[in-house]
Formats: sequence, structure tokens, C-alpha cells
Amino acid sequence: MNMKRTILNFMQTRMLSVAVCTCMVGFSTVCAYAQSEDDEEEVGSVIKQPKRTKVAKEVYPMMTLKGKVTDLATGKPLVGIQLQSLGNNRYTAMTEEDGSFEIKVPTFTTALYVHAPEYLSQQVAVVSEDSTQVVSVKMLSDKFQQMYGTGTDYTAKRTASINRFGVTVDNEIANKLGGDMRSIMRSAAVDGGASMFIRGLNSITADAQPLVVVDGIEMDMQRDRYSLHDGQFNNVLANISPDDIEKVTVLKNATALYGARGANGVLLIETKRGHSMATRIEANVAVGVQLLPRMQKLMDATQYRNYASEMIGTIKFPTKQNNEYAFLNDDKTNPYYYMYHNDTDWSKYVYRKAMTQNYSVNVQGGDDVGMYNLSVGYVKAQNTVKESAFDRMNVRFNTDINILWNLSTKFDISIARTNNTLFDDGMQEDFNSSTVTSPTALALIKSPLLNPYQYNSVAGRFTNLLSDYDNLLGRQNSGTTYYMGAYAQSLANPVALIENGTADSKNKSENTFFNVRVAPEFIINNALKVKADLSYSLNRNAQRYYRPFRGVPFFAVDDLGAVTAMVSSMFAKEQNFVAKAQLDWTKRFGKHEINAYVGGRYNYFSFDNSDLTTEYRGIVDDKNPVLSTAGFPGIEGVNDVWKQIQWYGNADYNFQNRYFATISLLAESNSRFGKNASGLGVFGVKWAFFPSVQLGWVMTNENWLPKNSVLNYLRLNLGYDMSGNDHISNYAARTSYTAVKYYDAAMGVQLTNVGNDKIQWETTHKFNVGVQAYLFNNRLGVNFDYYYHKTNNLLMLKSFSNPIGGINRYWSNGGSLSNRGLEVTVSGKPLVQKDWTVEVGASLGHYKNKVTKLPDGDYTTSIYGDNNILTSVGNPVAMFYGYKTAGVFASDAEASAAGNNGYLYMEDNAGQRQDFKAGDVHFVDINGDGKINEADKTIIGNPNPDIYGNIFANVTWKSLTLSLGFNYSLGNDVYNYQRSILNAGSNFFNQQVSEVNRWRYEGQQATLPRANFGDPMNNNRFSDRWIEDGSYLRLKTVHLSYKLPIPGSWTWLQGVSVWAEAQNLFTLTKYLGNDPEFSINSGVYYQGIDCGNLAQGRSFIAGVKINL
Amino acid sequence: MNYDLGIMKRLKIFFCAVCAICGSFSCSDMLETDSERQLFNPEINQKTDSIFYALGILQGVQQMTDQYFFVGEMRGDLVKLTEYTDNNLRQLANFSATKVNKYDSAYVYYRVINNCNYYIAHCNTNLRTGADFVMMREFVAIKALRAWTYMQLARVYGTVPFYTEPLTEISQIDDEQFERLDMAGIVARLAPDLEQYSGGQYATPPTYGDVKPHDISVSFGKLFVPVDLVLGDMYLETEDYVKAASHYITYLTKVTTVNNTALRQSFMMSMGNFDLLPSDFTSSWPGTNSGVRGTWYNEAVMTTNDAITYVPFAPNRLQGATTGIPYAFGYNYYSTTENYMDEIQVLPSDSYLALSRAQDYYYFSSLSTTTDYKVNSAKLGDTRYDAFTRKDESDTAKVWIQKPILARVNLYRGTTVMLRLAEAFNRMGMPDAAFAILKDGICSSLVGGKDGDKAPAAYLSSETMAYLKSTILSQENIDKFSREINHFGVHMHGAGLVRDYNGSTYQPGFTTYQPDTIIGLKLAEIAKDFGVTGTTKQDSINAMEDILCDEYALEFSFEGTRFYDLCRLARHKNKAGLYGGNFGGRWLAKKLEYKQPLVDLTDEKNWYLPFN
Repeated sequence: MNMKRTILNFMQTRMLSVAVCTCMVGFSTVCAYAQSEDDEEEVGSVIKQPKRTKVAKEVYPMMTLKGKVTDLATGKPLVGIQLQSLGNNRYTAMTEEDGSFEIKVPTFTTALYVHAPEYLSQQVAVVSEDSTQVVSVKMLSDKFQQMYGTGTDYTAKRTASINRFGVTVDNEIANKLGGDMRSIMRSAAVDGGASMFIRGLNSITADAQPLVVVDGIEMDMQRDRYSLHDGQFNNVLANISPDDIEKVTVLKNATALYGARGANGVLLIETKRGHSMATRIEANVAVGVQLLPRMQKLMDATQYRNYASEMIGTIKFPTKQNNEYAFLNDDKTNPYYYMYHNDTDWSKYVYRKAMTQNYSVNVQGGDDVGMYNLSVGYVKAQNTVKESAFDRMNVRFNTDINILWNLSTKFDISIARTNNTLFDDGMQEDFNSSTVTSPTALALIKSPLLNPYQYNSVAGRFTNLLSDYDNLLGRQNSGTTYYMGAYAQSLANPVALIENGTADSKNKSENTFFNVRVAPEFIINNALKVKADLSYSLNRNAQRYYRPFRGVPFFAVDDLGAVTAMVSSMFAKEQNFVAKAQLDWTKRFGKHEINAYVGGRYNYFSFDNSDLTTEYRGIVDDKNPVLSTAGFPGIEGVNDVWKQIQWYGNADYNFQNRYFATISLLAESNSRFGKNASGLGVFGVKWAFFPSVQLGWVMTNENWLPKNSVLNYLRLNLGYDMSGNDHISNYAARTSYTAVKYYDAAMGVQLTNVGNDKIQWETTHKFNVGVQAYLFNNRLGVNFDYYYHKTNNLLMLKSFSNPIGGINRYWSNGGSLSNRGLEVTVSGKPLVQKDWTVEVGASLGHYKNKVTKLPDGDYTTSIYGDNNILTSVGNPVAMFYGYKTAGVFASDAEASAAGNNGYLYMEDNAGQRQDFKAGDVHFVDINGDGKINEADKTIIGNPNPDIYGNIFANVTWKSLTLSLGFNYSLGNDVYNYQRSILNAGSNFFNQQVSEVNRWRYEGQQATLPRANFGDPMNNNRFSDRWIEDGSYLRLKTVHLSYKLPIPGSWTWLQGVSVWAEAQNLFTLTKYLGNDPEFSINSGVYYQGIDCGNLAQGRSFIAGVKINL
Repeated sequence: MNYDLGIMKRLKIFFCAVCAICGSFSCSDMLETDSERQLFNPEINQKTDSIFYALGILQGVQQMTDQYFFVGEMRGDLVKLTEYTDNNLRQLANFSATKVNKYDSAYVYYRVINNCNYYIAHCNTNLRTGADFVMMREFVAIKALRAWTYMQLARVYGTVPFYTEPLTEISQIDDEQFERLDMAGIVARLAPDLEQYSGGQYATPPTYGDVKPHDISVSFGKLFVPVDLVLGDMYLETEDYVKAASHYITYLTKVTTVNNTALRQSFMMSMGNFDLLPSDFTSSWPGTNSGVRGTWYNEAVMTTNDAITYVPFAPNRLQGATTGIPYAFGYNYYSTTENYMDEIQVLPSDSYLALSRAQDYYYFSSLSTTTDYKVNSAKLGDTRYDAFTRKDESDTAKVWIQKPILARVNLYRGTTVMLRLAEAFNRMGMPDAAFAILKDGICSSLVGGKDGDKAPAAYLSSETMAYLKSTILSQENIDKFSREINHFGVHMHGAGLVRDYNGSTYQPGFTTYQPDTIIGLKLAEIAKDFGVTGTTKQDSINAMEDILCDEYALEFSFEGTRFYDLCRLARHKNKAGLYGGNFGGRWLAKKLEYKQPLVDLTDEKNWYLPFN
């Protein structure tokens, strides 16, 4: 046994090197064949075809179908259109000059597949065993969106081809698959990407976003990892250039074959491969500009001065230094007069118009030995925050190589390197943890009285020397601020913050993504083939954070002390190795067709990061910041390894292209599962089983359904499947000791986790019924799906019933939730003409999420608030939970009549009664006890939309194409956290201009409460004051392209297109924040909370595409 | 063709090899993972590694200390609340705390216990260097710490689940079958095992050599509780006074060398009260340093010199566990700019101030000569209070109690041992011996010197004298208490010259701090408060216990022990049965009456927090 273990350990440690070696072997194979390409004779001897056996004699009774293919736009007959029996390319034909055709097919044939370049492929239903019928086919131009495939899909999935150019593919996915997957752009950060949810929220604490699979390899999207910068994301998808992507597919059900990672649906991304033996070169160039986003209207200097001077009067312990506030001293000889008597719009100093440039070259080609696609791209995109920018260099080389007639392999290699200059973004959650270092937040809250530059009294003007942080309350010449946490009123000069924080070693994030993959395929005979797939990925991320010394105030952190500058450095590395083997079997028996496969997959992930931080206590040289032990050092990091083994089998059955069935089953074991998890115990581990049954019925292929131009296609789907979520804390199953700091440098280890050996995956059962129809000569397409998802064994942090373990909580399975909803997509082609085409469509998604069971009962979570997110049985997960308000008390009479016997009141932290007086917010006393406390909290908002989706329109006129893309979300509530800071009236941060109308005198009807330093009445508590309707309709893209006419003699040039695109031209919304589309975090609890991250502005891009 | 076959053959070999490799390992091996940052089921069998486990346990002690402190202090009779007092503390103070109170979490104690259990179960105690079993000191110290922690649990919750095996599985923790024991049950379970280490070579906790952080030094030898003190306390809690006394004596005679130099000058007047000094006050005193002021505060509070066991908190949260204790007293320990805050949550209670102010201060009169010493007393109050407080000249309502300002909490001081020993002596029937500890301290002179060549203390009965001579001041031990320097009573810390010795000479009646007077005053006070009178020895013992109770207040106020002391003394009184049933309960309720508690404190079950 020991021996075996030793060998095993050896094997495991060598696993990665084996992977790399395997890849190297693959690579050398490529090289070998690449070398042999010039030597045609060699090729001939290598790829030896077997002697062709005689074409088997036809065993089925045959019939001949006749008909005509015409162009729907012109009515003219079409020549050269190819036809075949659907799903069987043994029976083919082509149209004649007059558009007529004759095709010999078995008598049980029910559908033809018709296709030709420049036209949309079609499936055409025919009556089986009827050779008298005349089949009429009307072809549509391929300017319309693709409708039919070569086979029949009877699951809920949707594919979109990617043909645009951008920084990440997220935007394009949101545009094209908006009703199928709710995609919410995180912010305007060019590489930020989107939060994605398919069919509701299928988990509470675990990742609820889809699995992303790129070319068959499951990605770890690192959604639970953090970034050093507030409001920034390390978006793994930003490593893939949209220009490399052929298509994306959203799998909404039937994801059992993805095992314990398929519960949230799957996003399949396929990169471009070589299709053409002729060498094709495509070059793209684009440049663009993004305009400033929508800004908040803030108080100007006069308004602010009034506000601030009123605020001073409400300070309980006024500053001890002196009461001379420079901003109130109007004596021009005062040395601080010019420093504190300005009227600055800080957004002008923080934002800019952002430029984008994007280049790519794509080369395809090959011969019968190998096909390849090589793409190289470079993008450089600025963000609208000054100095903040992103660039990426990417190379991808995908090949398909035939080694023998029966042995081929894919060999792919890609590398992408991204570079980001970035800063904190949005309003921070905790103003006690550090001074504000987000330029976007400072642009809003920094007092307009200040100026970014120093005033030189000798010269009598402002210089180009940057101002230091302000000190509105304290002594101007003091180097320290004496206020703790939320009472700290000094703010950084955002211009100095940006300038001193920008350098190669400062606020940066660099990422390198490397993947190599070998996927050989061996054909054993006509029915059998073996496939394998080996892949190794390395995702390496280095981040650097720097809070400058100059221009940024001292800040006293609780339990730490006053800190100045800060340096953080994080290095993360993830490795993924996948080995897959599969045996495919295909067989046709007349009307019956069976495709089946069985296989196994091994997946290995390791993620580790180290994050070192120093918070300085003294002066730091901004030019050369170094990590040192001079200040407060902090170390964090993780070291996670997880593995999975899967065995799977799948069988597709097709009867006459009418009835379809798929049965699949996957068994998975995973290192995150507990040893005593439920499930079958075999080979010393527990196995989870995920079955799937999918049924399809193409009614139009039934003989009894009349074949006419009204109903071209009608299919019903029914499906049930199970899949899982393995997003279990990596060590939840194991009792473990971790390092703790005892005192300064002395370290200890403590029992920090009691493992749950029964921990297991969450299980999502998916039931789906759907209809797909094409009508009126395929001019109208309708797709409808209804689904019901039930997730059991939700991963929850459970409290021990007993405190005796010395540990409070552990991960456990319990609780369940459901999602039910529908998806509808309608598209129509109202104008089908030779020169003009118009296609319009819309998609709509709707879900109703409901928690049905919780192991420890209802609970609240604090996210940008105090216990403000409610998870409760009978309601959707993560509801906004707080106080209802009824305006602001205008007068003492009104306030004193609000309670049971006098004023409404609350108890402060010291248990003292505090009355809500005139000018305070009138919180609704729900339980009527006269006291405002936790018992008066109620559900005040739901972040889930009623409906969401997109609307599109494509208009073409000859070579000119205009596309419009809208997206929308209706009925979702937003917690406008940013506004809760800008309407707080409780400190010296600048406020929205509406603050001018705050309550100020007895009897005043006001919507905002009185200004009161430190907010002793907690008027700004989480209440419906901050909940808004987040519905919006946005014109996301307007795209115009024109294909230039090329003289026929220019054989070297295949085509040139010029295009221009405008994004976010307008947004219809009542939302008061910067942008109704945002997502601050992937987690379910964080949905609908807006902390004001960089908002999307209008942008304009123009480009040219050259095909050689 | 051959080439094809070659590849085919190779492929076959490759597939066979893959199958063979896969087949020979079970899936559990393939899915095994390890971590560089976490340890799974570690064995504690390395001489050098065990310190990490010990420090992990000690971090657990840090994490429980806020609760230990606040429950012990806020529920006692020494605190007054202010408008800033946090509700959690307020609820503790007025006995309305429920399970949601921040300081009602039994798990913080069980974290220490479970980590100790794991250590005890996995430690290899057979490791040795030469003849020395190198793990034993730490092993014994961790056993003692576990017993001490169980004792705290019983003090806070009364009856608690008890177990000694490590709980590393959820099913074990959610198992409700663990027996529930009260203090007596816990002592019965744990004390017998600890007895084997009492006074032995492994009874001194480990010191860990030179583990020294760079910021503020920590005495690593003072992080564990000595086993004899835990045993002494356990027996004292369960009214087994003889055994309790014997363990304190073992500690003082076998485990440590008595050295209370720390407090030797503490009888001197502290800063602050000079204005009130009587005109005949002289600070000159033959044989000692003059001019040393406030030494008691420096030695007992600002340094760890008097500490036997203490809990140091990390200088900031990046370097370990921090505490909220200084903050409650209006002191922001972690601020690097300004520490004293306007919001003071805890002030001294009126009854405490009254007690402190009522103390006499004893001093040499200027009328003394070198041959005819004269000691006078004045109502200056106990000087300790002035020593550890900082006052705002402009706002008399602001008093900063400075005991916690170094973010350290003492669990045992040298003085603790002395007063606990006095408590045991008293209940053993020797109130005079108890008084001697307040007045003169334990010193050879009490029994007339090593050779009996000096006059013994006149107020000690012959029985007491005999007991002392046969135990702590036996011929074998007496040298340990012979130095003049040890010759100081606890009450001298704040009351000046209370003893009857001058140099090496015993002079009866040298000061007016005499047992008859002091006990007599206390008896009168009890008669007034409770309407009970008596002149028996039992009455004197009860009165002496109240004097000790006052001394606990004067010495250990705001060190987090008060409520535990009150409960223990109340139990002693109930056990003694004097003045009718539940006198202890009534006594305790009377002490806390001013707080208007929301429960009936005469009932012992209301002394405990709800188990959570």
C-alpha cells in the first residue's frame, strides 16, 4: 500500500510534466508534418487511403422526389443549390438551370436539407413514401440570421456566431443572446466583462454563473477570487480575442454531461479553425472613442459652503486644534484663502474621452494533410478614467492534422497577454477601512472648494504643482488627521492620486494565459472511432496596488493605527490539466439512427496566490515604493488543488427525423466531495450520478401534417436532466489546522475548520418543454421554452447546534430553491427583396426564483449595509431587506405625533432612547410599538427583473447593412448605494445638488433629512430611500457596414468592408444612478447593488476589414 | 505499411500502458489533494513543532479574553455605565444579556478546550533530550490551561458540556450526549489527573527561550497558567480550602521563588494626593528609597513584573488577535495619533469610589525618631485608585481607567496568589493568618524568624502559628520568606505602612491597622447592612472574608475578575451556612443592588449567562 502511495505521489507530481511532454510530442508531430508539406510524395506515402470498398448496394426501397428551388425575394429559379436527405449525405442532388431538381432518397425520408453559398440553409419537410409530391423550396439570402442546422437540436440551446470586433466577447454575447442568458456588464472597464445568469439563480452561496467551455476545455473563471483593486475584476474571458471566436452557444438544459459543474448552464465558445484549403487572409483595423459617462449633478462651491458650515454646527466634539476653518475665512490675505475658495468640477480632472485601437490578422489555409487557422491580435483601449487602460496581445494557432487516413489530431496552441492600468473604482463598502482611493468616487465627493493645483501667492496664480490632500476641519499645517474612520474628513486629491499612482510598478494587473491542446482521433471502422483530448492551461496573474503618499491623507484604521501609503503585490497562478478519452459509435438501420459514445475525463486544477501588503506609517517615496516591513505588513494567500474524474455515456436516437431521444448519464467523483457524501461508493470514493433524458418531435416531418408555406417547421421538445454544482469551499470536507498569528512575528496553528465528510454537490433538476416553429416561408421564427429548475442540497454555512467544537459554522448541504420561467424568441423578416432586406426580432426571458427550504431558517447578510439582504423561504433569494419610509418629518408636531405616545424613537448602540424629531426620516413603524428597530424591517425590493432580453433589427440595402441592438431589463430593483453616500447629509463629502433642499427649518416639506454630522439617528440606514426601479431599455449598438465593390480584375483582393458602430447611444430609464447596467460582484447576494463603478458612456468605433 | 503498423503498435502499447496505470490505482488516490497552507490530522511529534500548536491555543486564549474580561468586570460592583456604554456591555451589567449578546459565546472557550484536547491526544510526551522529557512542561501547561478554561466556563454558565477528546467531526460536535458538569463535577474530573504534576519538575510552564517580537516584548514564560494555581483555584471554587491552600503553598514554595520585590515600594504615596497630606507626613523611612512614587502602578499594571500569567494582545490586527477592552475604557490603544477618547463607556462605581476613599493611609509621622517610630493614619483613601486613573481637569465626569491601556489582561498576579491563599486560610478557620497576608505578607518574621529568635506577630493565634510553622513557613521553606524585602502586606499596596515591623523588629501596635479594629469595623458594617450580629469566630471569618473582598476590589478592580470573585465568596458564605440559608445570595444581591439588575440575584441560577 505504501509502495503504491509512493508511486502514486510520484505520478501525481509528474502529472503536469507528463502533460507538457504529451503536448510536446503533439507539437513535434506537427513540426514533422509541417516539414513534410513541401514533399508531395512523402505526403502520398503517409496518408494512404484504404482501398475503397464498392458502394454498398441500396438496401432500402427508394423514391424520387422532384421539385423546384426559387429565390424567395425575386421568385427566380436558382441553379446549383445542393440538396440531400436530412442527416444522410449519401443521397444528394443539385438544382438545374431552371431551379428544378430530382433526388433519389429512401422512401422513409421525411426531410431534405437544402444549402448553398449566399443562402440560408433549410430543412424542408417531405411526405415519406410519396414520390408524386412536388417539393417547392424558397431560399432566403444569408443576410438573415441562420435558422437551420444540418441536424436537429431538441434541447434548449442557442448559438450565435461572433463576427464583431471588440475587446471582450461579453458585450457581443449580451447583444445576441440576451434573452437566453442574462448578461449584465460589470462596468465600463473595457475588459471587465459581464455577470451571466442562465435561467435564474440556481444557487445561493455557490457560483450561480454558467460553466464556460472553450474548445471543449472547461475553464475556471476565478469568480470567487479577488482583485487588489476595489470594483475591478480579473475577467478570464478577456484573454480571448472576440476576433478569434467562431461562435458561442448557450446550453440552458441537458447539461448532465458537465456533471457537477453544469447546474448553471454552459457557455460554449468555439474558436476559429481552418475551413478552406485556399489561403485566406483577413485583416481588421478599428479605432474608436468612448465619451464620458452620465455624471451626477453635484453641489457647486456656494451650495457646498452653506452645507459644510451648517454641518460644522452639528459636530458633537468639535475639532480640538482650533476652530478656524479655512474655507469660512474670507480674508484674502489668509494663506489658505485660495486653497479653499475654488469651484472645481472634479470630474473634469478625473475623466477623459477614451481612445481604442484594435488590430488583427487572421490567416486560414492548408491542404489535405493539415488545416490551420492562425490569428494574431493587438488591442489597446483606454478607459474613461484618466491613465486607466487595457492592452492585449494574442496569438492563436489552431490546426487539424491528418496523420494517417484514420488518424488525425487537433493541435492548438494559444497565448494571450493582457496589461491593465487600473485604480479602485466606485464607492467603497467600508469607509472605516481606508481613505477613499477611487478616483471615480473622489470625483463625486471631493469638496468643490478645493483645487487640484497649488496656489502660488507670490506669482498670484495656480501653479502646476499638485495639491496635497485637503484638511477641511483640522489645522492646515498639521501632518495628521485626528479623526478615526468614518469621521475622517480629509480626502485625497484625485489628480495627485492618479498621477502618483501611475507607473509600471504601481497600479497594474498583468495576465498571461497559455493553452496547448492535442486532440487525436482514430477511426477504427465506419461505426467506431476513438477520440482523446489533452490540454494544459496556465493562467498567471500579477497585480500591483499602490496608494500614494503625496496627495492622499493619513487615515486611522480601527485596530491598526494611522497609515499613509500602501503597496500590495499579488501573484496568482492557475494550472489546469485535462485528459479525456471517448469512444464513438454510429449506426444507421433504415429509419433508425443511433449515435452513442462513452468516455472518461480527468480534470486537475491548481490555483495558488500570494498577496503581500505593506501599509506604511510614515513618509514614503512615491517614486520608488517598495514592499517592506517598515509599516504594517500583511500576508494572504491560498493554495487550492482540486480534481475530478468523470465517466459518461450518451446515446442519441433518431427515428425518421421525426422522433428523437437522447439518454445520457455521467458519474463524477471530485476531490471536493466528502468521503461519506451520499452517492455510490466505488473505488474508494463517492460518485455522483447525473442522468438526462431529452425528447424531440419534429411534427412537420409527419405525413399527416400538410406541407405548405404557412408552417415550414414545428418541433416540440421535452427534457429532464440533472446536473450539479461543485463550488464547494475547497477544504470544506476536511478538518484542518491553519496558521494564525499569535503576536507580531510569533505564529501558531489552530484548528480552524471541522470538515464535513458528508459535503456534496448541489443538485439541480431541470425540466424543460419547448417549441420551435418557422412559418410563412420561414419569414417568421418563434421559439418558446418553459422550464422548471429545482436545486437541492444547497451549500450553506450551517451553525453548529452546540458551541462545544470551538467553531461556529461549517459547510453543509441543506435547503433548496426553484426557478421557473420562460423564454420566447421571435424573429421576422418583413422585407425580403433583392436589394432590401429587413429582419427584426426580440427575445424575452422571465424567471421566478423561490427559496423553498433553508436548514437554519431565514437569515440576513450584510452587503453594503447592515443585515440588508434577506434569504427566506417562500421568497426569491437575496431580497433587499430594510425599513420603509414615509418621508421626512416637516415639523415637531408631525414628529411628536408619529409614535405611540409621542415621538417615534430608536435605541442607540448605548441603549439610549433617541427620538426622531423634525427633519429626521419618518421610518414606518411596522409593528406599531413606537420603536424603530430590527422588527420593523421588511422586504423593500427585489433585484430580479420581471423580464429581460434584447431586440434587434437588421436592414440591408445592397452592400450596406445597418444593425440595431437593444437590450432591456424590466422590473428589477436597484439598491443605489452610491446615492446613499451622495444624499447622506452626514459628513463633509460633496453631495448631489438635491441636498440643497434638505430639511432646514420647522415646517419645511423636504424629501431629504436634516444635515447631521455622523448621522446619529441613522437616517441613512438601509431603507427604501435607496431602492429604485432599475428598469431600462438601451440602444446598445448601432452598426453600419458597407462592402466596397471590388473590380473583378483584382484577384488579389477578395473584399473590403468599412464599418462604423455606435454603442450606448441612448438609454431609457428612471434610474438615478450613473448607469442602470452594472454588476459589482458575481455572487448572488450582490445582485442589484450599485456602488457606482465606472459607467458606460457612448462610444463610436470605425473600422475596415480587408480580405485577401 | 510497416510504418503504419509501427504506429498502430505504439498506440496499442500506449493505450495498454495508460489502462495499466489507471487500473492499478484506486480513484481515491487520484483525487487526493494536499495543501501547503493547511494541515490535515497532524501528529504533534516533533520537539520543535509543538510550539506552533501551543501558540495556536494561546491565540484561542486571546480570542476568549474579551469575553472573560467583560463578563467578569461588567457584572461586578465596581463599574458605572455612561451614555456611551455599548449595549452589549450594558446588558451584561444589568443582567439582561441574552444569547445574542456579543459576549455570550461559549464557543470561544471551547475553541481553547478543543485545541487543547487535540494537543493532549496527539502530543508525543516520550520525546526526550537526555533525561529530560522535553514535551512535558508544555503538555502539563496545556492540561492546566484546559482545566482553567473549563473553570471559566463553569463560572460563566454554571453547568456545561464536558469532554476531553478532540472533536474533529461534525457528528461529534452535534452530539448532545456529552455529560453536563458543574464546577464540582469539572473539578472532580480534572483535578485528580493534574495532581500528579503538582510541585513537580514539569509544574513550571515552558518559556520558549528567545521568541521575541520586535515591537513590544512579551514574556513568553508568562503565557500559561501554572498547574498548582489552577488546582488551588479549583479547590477554592469548590470550598475545599485545605487543598486549595496546600496548592497555593506548593506554588509558592516549590514552583517559584517568592519575589515580590515588584511591589516593595508600593506602599508609598502615589502621585496626585500631595495636597491632602497631613502636616506630619514624612516620606523618609529608614532603610528604603525615598521619593519613589506610584511604584505599585508601574510594577503591577504597566509592567508584567507582578504577573504570573497574562494575555498580551497583538499591537494591531495584522499581527494577531486584538482587543476591545481599552476602547471600552475610553482609550484607543490602536491609534497611533491620539489615544484618549471622549466617549468613555466604563467608569468606577460609586460604591467602589466610596470603598477606596474610605481607606486610611498609614504613614510615618514627622514626630518619629530613629528609636521611637510613630505611624499615623489619615483618611486619604486608597492610593491605588489615584495611581491607575487619569482625570480630565476641566471635566470631572471624565475618568480614564488606565489599567487596560497596554492591551494586556492579567490572569494571575503574585498578589492574586497571596489573596487567594488568604481566602483559603480564612475559611480554614484562620482569619488571623488571612489578615497577616494583608498586613504583613508571608514572611519569616510572622513566626519569629527562622530560628524563633524574634518576636512573632502578636495577633496570630497559637493554632495559626503552628499551622504556618508546619506548612508554608516550615524549617524547610522559611528561608524562602526570610528576606526583609518580602515583608509586605497586600494592603500596603495602597494604604502605606500597615505592618507592625520596623526593620527586623516586631513592635505590636506600631500602626492602627490591627485585626481587631479592622474586623470590628467590618462586623459593624455587616450588622448594619444585613441586621445580623455575632461575635463567634465564624462571624469573624465572615467579616474577614468581606475585608478580603474589599481588598480584591482595591487591588484587582478593572482587571476582569470582580464578578467571579463575588460569586465565589457568595458560595463560600452559602456553604458556611451562617446567618441563615442563602446568605451568600443575599450578600451578592446587595452588592449589586445599585445596578438595578433585571433578575433576582439572590438566586444563584441567575448569576449565569444563557448557554450559547
